Amino acid sequence: MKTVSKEYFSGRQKYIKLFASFGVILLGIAFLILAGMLRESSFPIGDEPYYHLAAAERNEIGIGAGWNFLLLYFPMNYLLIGIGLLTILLLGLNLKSFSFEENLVALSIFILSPAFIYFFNIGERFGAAFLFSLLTSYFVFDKKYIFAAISTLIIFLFDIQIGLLILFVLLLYYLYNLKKRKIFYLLVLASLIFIFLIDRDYNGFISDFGSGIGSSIFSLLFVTFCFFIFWDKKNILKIYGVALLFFLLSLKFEFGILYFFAVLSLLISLCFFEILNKRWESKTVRDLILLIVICGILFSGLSYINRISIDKPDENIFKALEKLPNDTVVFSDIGYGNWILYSGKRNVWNNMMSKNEIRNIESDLSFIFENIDYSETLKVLQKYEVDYVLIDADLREKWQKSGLIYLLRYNNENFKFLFEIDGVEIWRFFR
Amino acid sequence: MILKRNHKILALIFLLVLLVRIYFIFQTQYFDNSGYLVKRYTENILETGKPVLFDQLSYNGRETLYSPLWHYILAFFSLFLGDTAFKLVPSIFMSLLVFVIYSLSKRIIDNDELAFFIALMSGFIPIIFVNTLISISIYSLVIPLMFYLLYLFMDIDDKNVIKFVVLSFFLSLLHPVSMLFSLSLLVYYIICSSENLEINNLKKEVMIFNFISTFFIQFLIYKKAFLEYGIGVIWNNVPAQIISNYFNFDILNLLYNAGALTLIFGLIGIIYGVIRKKDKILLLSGLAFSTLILLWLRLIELKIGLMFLGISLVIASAFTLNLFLNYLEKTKIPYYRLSFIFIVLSLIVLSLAVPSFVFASRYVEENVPSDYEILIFNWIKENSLPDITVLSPLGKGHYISGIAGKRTVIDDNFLLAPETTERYNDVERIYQTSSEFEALELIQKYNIDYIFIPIDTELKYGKIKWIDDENCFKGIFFGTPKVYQVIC
Repeated sequence: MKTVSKEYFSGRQKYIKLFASFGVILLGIAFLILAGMLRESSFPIGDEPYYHLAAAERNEIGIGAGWNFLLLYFPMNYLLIGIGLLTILLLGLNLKSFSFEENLVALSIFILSPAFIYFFNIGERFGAAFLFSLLTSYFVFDKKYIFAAISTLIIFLFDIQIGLLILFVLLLYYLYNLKKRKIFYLLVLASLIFIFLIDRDYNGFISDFGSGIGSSIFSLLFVTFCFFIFWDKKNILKIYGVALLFFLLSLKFEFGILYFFAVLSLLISLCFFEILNKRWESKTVRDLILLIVICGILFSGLSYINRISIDKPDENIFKALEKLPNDTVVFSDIGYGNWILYSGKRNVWNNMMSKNEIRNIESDLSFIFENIDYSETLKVLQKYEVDYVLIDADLREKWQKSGLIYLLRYNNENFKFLFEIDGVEIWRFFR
Repeated sequence: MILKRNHKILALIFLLVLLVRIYFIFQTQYFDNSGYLVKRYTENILETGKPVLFDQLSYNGRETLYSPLWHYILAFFSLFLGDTAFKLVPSIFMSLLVFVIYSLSKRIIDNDELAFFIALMSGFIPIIFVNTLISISIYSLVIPLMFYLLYLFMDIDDKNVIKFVVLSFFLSLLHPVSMLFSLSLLVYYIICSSENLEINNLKKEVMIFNFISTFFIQFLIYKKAFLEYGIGVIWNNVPAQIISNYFNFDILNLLYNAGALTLIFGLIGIIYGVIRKKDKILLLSGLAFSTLILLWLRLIELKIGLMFLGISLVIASAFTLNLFLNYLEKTKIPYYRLSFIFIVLSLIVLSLAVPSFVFASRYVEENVPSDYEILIFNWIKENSLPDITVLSPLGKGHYISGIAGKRTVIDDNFLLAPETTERYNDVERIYQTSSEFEALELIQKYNIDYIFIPIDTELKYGKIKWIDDENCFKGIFFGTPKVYQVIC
């Protein structure tokens, strides 16, 4: 088996570099369009993109104003492919201090990561914010501070939290360069405490173990294993430190996984070449190990694409919602809120609400889900001025023991079954 | 010349073990409960060429997730041997263990006679002997393979690397218990590192390979289960009520199942080897410790854990016996040496072979369906509609699907099965409740058409009172076991 060694590269360097770069771009394009191609419906994946689409349609500023603005002028699919490719390019430019091979492998691993697949296939605002954070870091590394400042300001248009994160990272970078280690470590410690104190729902961190968005198990294992190889290399241990910080961040903030994977991809790449160049008793074993690692990372990426391609919503939900009059209130699960909003109806709750708002509504709705108290359920539904209730097979399973499903069994004067489209049921609630 | 003699003796030992196994397996024409699952899945391969991906009969229809390699191997042999393959092939594989154990023991003690003796002993470890007789058990291939890998790893060199790589891959494809092998290598590495013992680079490399490849293959095969249960997949979706019994470590049970003297000599061997930092014994102790860890964490069934533990102890006992023999040679009582050796070895044989034979005859008698049960299953098969559901206790589920060809409410193929804990509870409730209303509600929940009541269930829960309601239940068979049809 021929390995991709430095010597091999040096012979036909120019063409190979060009060919390899082109290959990475092709890989990027493939992973940017594959989920859409595998998907049966043409509706975007997930629920948050529908919030932005609805906001763009209504010309509202809302959350992620920059992203809403872009969606007003560009179709979401093309926009995602465009920013995805630009992200690859900018990440490559950020990694230019590393060798060409390391850079290339890091980029490929980043493209195969669930983080890249998720954020650049699902129309959330974080992908664009990440792109501008890469642009900021590129300008900072290039010492073009005015451009970096402008780019940082643009990040705030997409997401305030990412904007604050970038400011904080820049501050740390500045302190580190000034060798003000005490303040640096103090701030790192403060950020750790902050991360631990933040109250967020924990949804797992390994995508292969079923978490919505997370790391690939193979990447994590490989990097953990390589930690022992790099034990005595101080510079690489620093990268491990950065990766750890972003990893902890990703446990509390969804977008953190993008930053974590950007660093992780670099670490995997360094580790890959370290293993390749190390002296091995059996080259067969070495090659097989690397092959399995590549297959594992590729497998994680492909299985993740396959998974998100069958994610909701399916078009029956929109078909059912279309039949309802506009501006009426439709009650369903929180994850359905933005779809309701997108189809021109009003929802009771959605994932873009603040934690406090959701908590308040949740405490009210607990009557609906936990009790079969008829009058209390009516009161809650009246309070939120509910006109219709939308339920599909998944919600029937999720709410199977809830009071609402129990009450819906009795098609009485308050609840009337209207219609069903392939498992999506619409019930009329008479206030 | 010596080599030939050794081969002949080994072949004799192999034949002896195989013949004894054949003697027991052909005492019945049936299999135990789990055997019928393997048989059904293999027959599906023979009919369609494909493994069962959606089992219509188990749990009223459910997805399945398993490596079908073992079933393909059995299907291949079934092409030539027919149904006999289900009995013969596992026994041949299991008997091959004697060659592996001989090689391993020889490597540890370099004493031919003792290695032969240990190889013979390994063929009659009660827990293995009994559990691989009529179950068409995958462990009859997994166990020899795993110990052969251990043998290859012990003194691995450039010549053996490819063999190790290929077989390690094969083991991973065969069964998830390959994780136990990876874990034992890891424990071995930890022990060696803590004792400042040098492990050569090639060993380290193949260890890394084994760890990564095993994990990758398990992930590839069981991806769906990982997504469904997350890290909880390691508990295999076993109902909570059963998992709590996984580590019921009864020392008397252990003495019987692994052989009392083997256990004592094996433990001494492992302790002595660890103290003296004997590399090969450290490797064995890695396997023994990791088995104990998995048992303690309730990650493997007790009988499976004891199988691996039993063989590790048998091999380790070779080390103790060798020490013992060497010591006798140095004493001033050489005249007693032979008689002493004879007594000890006879005791060991007695502690292994006798329990093996006793347990095996009992197992073959008690763990296969009786002729009357077969009559009942055949009656259900021929006289009921094709898509009916038969309620049976957990331990009889595969009889219903395998022999009667009908749907079950529960069986012990838990991975990806729906709500196993709830079902287990519900099935127990049906058999033990005195409320007909509660029973009917559960019967309706699982669309049960027939109720199969084995004698052991009646002994456990007493007579089911509500079953006498003739408006709802029609008695079909009234002996032991009983069968009622649900008519309301």
